[in-house]
Amino acid sequence: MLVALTLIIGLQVLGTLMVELLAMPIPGPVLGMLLFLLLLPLLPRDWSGLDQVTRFFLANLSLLFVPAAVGIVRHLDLVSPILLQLLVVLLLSLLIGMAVTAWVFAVLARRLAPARDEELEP
Amino acid sequence: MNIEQLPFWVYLERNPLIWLLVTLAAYVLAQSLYRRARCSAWFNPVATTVCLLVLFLSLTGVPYEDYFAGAQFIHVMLGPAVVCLALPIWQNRRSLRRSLPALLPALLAGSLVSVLSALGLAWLFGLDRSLLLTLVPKSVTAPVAMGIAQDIGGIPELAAVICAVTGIFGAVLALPLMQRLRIRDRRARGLALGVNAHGIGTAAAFQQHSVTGVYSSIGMAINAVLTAVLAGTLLMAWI
Repeated sequence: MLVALTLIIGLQVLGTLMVELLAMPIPGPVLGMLLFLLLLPLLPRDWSGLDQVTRFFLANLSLLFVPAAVGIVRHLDLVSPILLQLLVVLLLSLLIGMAVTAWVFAVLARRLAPARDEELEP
Repeated sequence: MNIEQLPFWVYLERNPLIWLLVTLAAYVLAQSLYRRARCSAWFNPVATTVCLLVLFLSLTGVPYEDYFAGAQFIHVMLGPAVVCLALPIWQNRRSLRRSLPALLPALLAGSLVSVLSALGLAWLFGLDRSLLLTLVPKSVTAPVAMGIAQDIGGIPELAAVICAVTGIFGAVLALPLMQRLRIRDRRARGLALGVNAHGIGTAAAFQQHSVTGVYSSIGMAINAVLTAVLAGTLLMAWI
């Protein structure tokens, strides 16, 4: 498990270094993820407890951004006067985004990759 | 009552570990509340935890910097967590490969529409530049969203909060929206959740069906990369 953890942290550091050195337009951890994706085919299944470490991180993903989100206390005076506008923007943009994503996929999939039984709601 | 007058406070205040403890305890409490509410998205544990902690800090007057000195031990794990997203993508590569011709255009359209609709609406409402930039990564999983906001000149903490709000709305509204649109394909439903409501949406997707959950994970992971690239290249040149 410790080996897997070291690998994952190592990939993030490597990603961050490469982004810095090559001035790439993505955050370091995202490049780390892409590097991990390239590495995965080379590793045996569940290498060194990789599954366990990954599951732990992903199951608690939401806890990890609590400290940063609490930083909103420093911006309360910026947000409170525009709270209503902000909420309306988020809500409308979300509905538009979800409808477009699902609709484009559904229309294309009907012709190119029809759903199997387990992929359809009854 | 002023918390600084309590005798043990002097000791606790100098030990940053107290804020790690408070954060974990608040989250554990929020999680049990969430389960009590039968996993209703309105009781989202992140939202509850952040509200509790913001209230606590405002009432006690503890500066955010002091709080963060302890909470940073949780914060630094964000990067490794993003790296971990590669695993579900790899494990579901077969189903993904088959759906690829529909998946890629839907992902691209979803990412673009999500960013552009937020920018357009915010501009219509007259929100200012730093807020516009903060809205760009609103549908991206929070750890990446904060990185993007930082890179393009938005406000990272606000980005994290905006992501949480977007995720909660998405988790609540996805099912009624998909029913109204008569979309029965679980892959489409999952993708819509992941691309637009990231981790919180993905948790809701797994409650619907495992296929919905997997496609939501993929949507979240690829959207994080796509938005990062979109924001980094297009927006920097444009705004």
